[in-house]
Amino acid sequence: MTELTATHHAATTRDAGEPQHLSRGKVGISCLIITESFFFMCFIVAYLYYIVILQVDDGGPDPSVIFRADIMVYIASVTLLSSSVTVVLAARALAAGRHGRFRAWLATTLALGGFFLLATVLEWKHLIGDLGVWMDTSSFGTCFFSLVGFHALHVVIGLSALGLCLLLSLRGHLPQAQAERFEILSWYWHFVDVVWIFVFTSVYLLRVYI
Amino acid sequence: MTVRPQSTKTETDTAPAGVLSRVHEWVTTVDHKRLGIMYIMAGLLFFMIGGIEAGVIRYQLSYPANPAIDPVTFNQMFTMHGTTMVFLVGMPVLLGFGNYLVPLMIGTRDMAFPRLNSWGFWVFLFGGLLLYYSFIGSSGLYGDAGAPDVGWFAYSPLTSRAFSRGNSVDYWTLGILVSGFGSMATGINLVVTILCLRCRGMKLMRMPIMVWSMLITGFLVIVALPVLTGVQVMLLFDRFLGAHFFDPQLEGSVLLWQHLFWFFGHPEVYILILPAFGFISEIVPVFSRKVIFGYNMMVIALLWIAFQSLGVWAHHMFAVGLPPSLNAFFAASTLLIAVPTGIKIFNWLGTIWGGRIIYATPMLFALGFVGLFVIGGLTGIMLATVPFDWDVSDSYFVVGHFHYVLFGGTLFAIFGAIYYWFPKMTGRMLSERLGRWHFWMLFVGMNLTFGPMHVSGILGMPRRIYTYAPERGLDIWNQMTTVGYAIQFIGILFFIWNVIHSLRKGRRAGSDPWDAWTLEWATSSPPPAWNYHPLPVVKSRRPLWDAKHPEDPDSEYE
Amino acid sequence: MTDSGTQDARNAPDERVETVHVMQGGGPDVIPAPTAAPIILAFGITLAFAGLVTNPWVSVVGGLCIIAGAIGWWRVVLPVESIEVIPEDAYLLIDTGPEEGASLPPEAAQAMPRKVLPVEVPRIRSGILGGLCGAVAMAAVALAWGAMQGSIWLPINLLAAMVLSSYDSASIESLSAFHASGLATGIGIHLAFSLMIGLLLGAMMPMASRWPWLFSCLVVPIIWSLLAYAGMGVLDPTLEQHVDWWWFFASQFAYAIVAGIVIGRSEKISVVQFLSPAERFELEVNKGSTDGRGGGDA
Repeated sequence: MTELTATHHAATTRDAGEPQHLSRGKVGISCLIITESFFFMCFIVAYLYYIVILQVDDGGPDPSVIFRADIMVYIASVTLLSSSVTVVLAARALAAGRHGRFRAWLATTLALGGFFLLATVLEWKHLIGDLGVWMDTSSFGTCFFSLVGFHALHVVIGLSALGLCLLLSLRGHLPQAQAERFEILSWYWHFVDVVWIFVFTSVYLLRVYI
Repeated sequence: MTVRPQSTKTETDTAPAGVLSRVHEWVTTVDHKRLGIMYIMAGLLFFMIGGIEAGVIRYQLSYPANPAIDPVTFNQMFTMHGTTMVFLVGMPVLLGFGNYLVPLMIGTRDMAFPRLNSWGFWVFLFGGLLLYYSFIGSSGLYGDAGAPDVGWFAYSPLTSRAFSRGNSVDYWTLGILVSGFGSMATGINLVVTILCLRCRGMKLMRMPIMVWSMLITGFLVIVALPVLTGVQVMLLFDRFLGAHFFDPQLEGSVLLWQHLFWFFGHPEVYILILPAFGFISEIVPVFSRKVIFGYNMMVIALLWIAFQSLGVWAHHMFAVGLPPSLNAFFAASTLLIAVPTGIKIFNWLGTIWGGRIIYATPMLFALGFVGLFVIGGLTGIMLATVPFDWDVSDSYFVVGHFHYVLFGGTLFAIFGAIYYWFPKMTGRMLSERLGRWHFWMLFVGMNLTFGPMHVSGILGMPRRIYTYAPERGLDIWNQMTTVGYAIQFIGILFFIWNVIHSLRKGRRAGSDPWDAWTLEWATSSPPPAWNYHPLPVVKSRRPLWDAKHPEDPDSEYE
Repeated sequence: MTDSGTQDARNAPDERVETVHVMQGGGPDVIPAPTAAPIILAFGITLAFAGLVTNPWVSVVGGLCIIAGAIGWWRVVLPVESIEVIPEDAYLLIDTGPEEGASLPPEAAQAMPRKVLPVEVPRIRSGILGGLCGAVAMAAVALAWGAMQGSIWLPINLLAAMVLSSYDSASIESLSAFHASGLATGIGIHLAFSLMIGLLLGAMMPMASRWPWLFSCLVVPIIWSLLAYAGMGVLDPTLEQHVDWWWFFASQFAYAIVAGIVIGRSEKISVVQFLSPAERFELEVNKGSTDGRGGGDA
């Protein structure tokens, strides 16, 4: 009779293989990031195909409406990318148990992300309100608003989650033991930033310089 | 082998009896086994519905110029049949088996994210119900109301507001979109579970091939499904916000839909077949009384197929007029994918060869799978050849081809898996006698249905046509197909009766009725909510062989 | 113990006696507690989308369900996951004695000793060597036929016509003359086919374990000849036009007999299934046939 149990074989660990170090949360968020990347790929492909490669001219507003747009989008990009740094500092502070520092960096992250969102709102207000550009006015409108809009939606989701963390932390419900969960959230925030690099390149750089 | 649970006290013992509490238990469960069973049950229910839709199609085509069904209803039938079978039958049943078996096979207690798992199932089910609600809920003038009628891949511009004026296409998009969330959640769950929750000693290269196939399927789901989501969202924008993605009158491109849809669609067919490969790789060794031949190559072939499946999508588009260089590239990559698939076929044959073969029902279905899948694979190679594809594109030849792969392949593997793991899930055996009837009716009916389709396709019968003229010589082939459908229908009735009968009166299975070797047979049938206690430790690919033959363990040979 | 340990969130959601943080790798003896939050969230999301095609109020109800489901979900996982504890006496003792009512036929369920299949196989290099020797024998027969026709270049050019499409319309005089391109192409095709069949023979001869010689010297050339006879019209119409089929079959048999003899007489090693790839392709010195490793247990 042989038992197929841990107790029976507990001593013979040599052949039992390595213990598993992979964290469910980290692997899970990596999978989610892959999924989301392929989702964004659809819209980036559509933008590149219609606006950069074909440069379709359907008589409606074309990318020139955003070219005057200004320094604002560059500043907003810098703030969004720098929020990746601050969120790392926040995660480190939480892992070290320094809650005051954690809250400060987290608040900074929220402020930077919020500024980016504000810039997007102002740009959209200008495009929609002043110039009357929207999804149904031209291919550019279709591709621009869907791509930038989905990125903005992800910024909103990320900011909500980070804001919830700040709220929990202020009420004392975010102990050091939750540092890994916060780190996983910070990976998502990095993803949102990296997507912006691709969006920014496609929308604001390629059509200008090609 | 006996499993003696020294306490039989489970959740059901403490819960108050009664239908309501039983229902409450099932809807609030996060147990991967219950969710897996619900996935399979829901999938089989949709399978019956999709099968009846196929029956309507076959009834209409049973003789030329049949006035039974009007064209609009016919379009709705083949659209719903295809959509149902791909999204509401194939994926949920296969992912349901993955849900049920993966934690058992890798020796853990549940999936990595049990609540996400539950959410995934319900969102799939509600998405499917939303799609079917279109039959009564969809509004529009005559011909635009009712179920969607644009085909399961819904090519633009057929789906634009101009050509589908009711909201049936919206139901199609939203139903697929919502149930797709569930598939993505399950895909992520499978990958994380397999990577993070294996029991001690369960190295990657000791996992059953079935678990490997689920890992790779999970990865394909993660990569392919978001593209479907994205393209459906674009369609929604087109239809609700007037966006210009797919409207050629507004400089949109219908090709973009095709590229993005098939970038999802081709990995999708591998999502539908890789788990089937996994089932066969578990069934064939046990009923040949041999280890799987060429374990390493089986794993490599799975990875190769999955990787390459991301680069073959445009072979669905040979007829749209892509540049010859693109056609050549996609033809070559499609032909090349036959190599790893062939490796798998030969490894199954190598496993059977020299074995002591036991022709139990699971093995019958597995052998049927190998033969039928090879036929479908060979016609696939024919279709990968661009000039031939131009000749038979969108004909019944194509329909015959993919039914050999998805019906003879995926569905036969699913039935084999049901006969093989039913004892584990319910504690009772399915009847072998009824199982044989089921297999032979299905096998004969299947070949009679889909074999003649190749002929009618070569004779020039286009797919998705609601009737045909009498003088074309197509009558006899269509009538054979319809008769084949009737035989299959009877076979499925045998299956249903078998399940109902065996659930109540089937022979008790015990923990290990097939004298198998993978971990799931080490726990009781059905397993307790916690699967194992304490968790097992494995030292080879066949932990139960080691347990039964301590004097000659597998670990000496790996 | 069991009753207090098995906490049911449905009956007493606020009285979780056991709350253990099982973020990493799963706690030892716990399973997740049931919850209704996922189904509510799923229902809400479906309704929210269904509102697009039905009535905006459906979306509003869906939104409420989403909020309810999300809050319920957070309450289950935050700050710590709610779980059920496995009853302590749920220990499963597994033994491997014979079982009543096992479903396999008795002869299959009998204890079966491990058996290694196939016991011995030729080395890969034997297949290559056999293919090369066969190639020489086949070429000798073909050249003999060519010499009788008046030119030893004829068979070579006919073979080369498989890929050189300009030969299709060439006259018999032209085909009988020497062409450098024809010679190079012919040798290339001949070697490729010979090596491929040689490797296949090496792999398949041990599978015909009872009559390996019959298999390699009779069955294989018959199958191959019939295939060539049936397919030559597509593969190489020029060759089909000029060939003498009996000589062609003779050359096939010459190949198969020589290759079969070379492979059949070569040194055998025990099965390679569990060798590393480097060992299998003979990049390292093989451990030899002494360790008796094997794969099957029939």
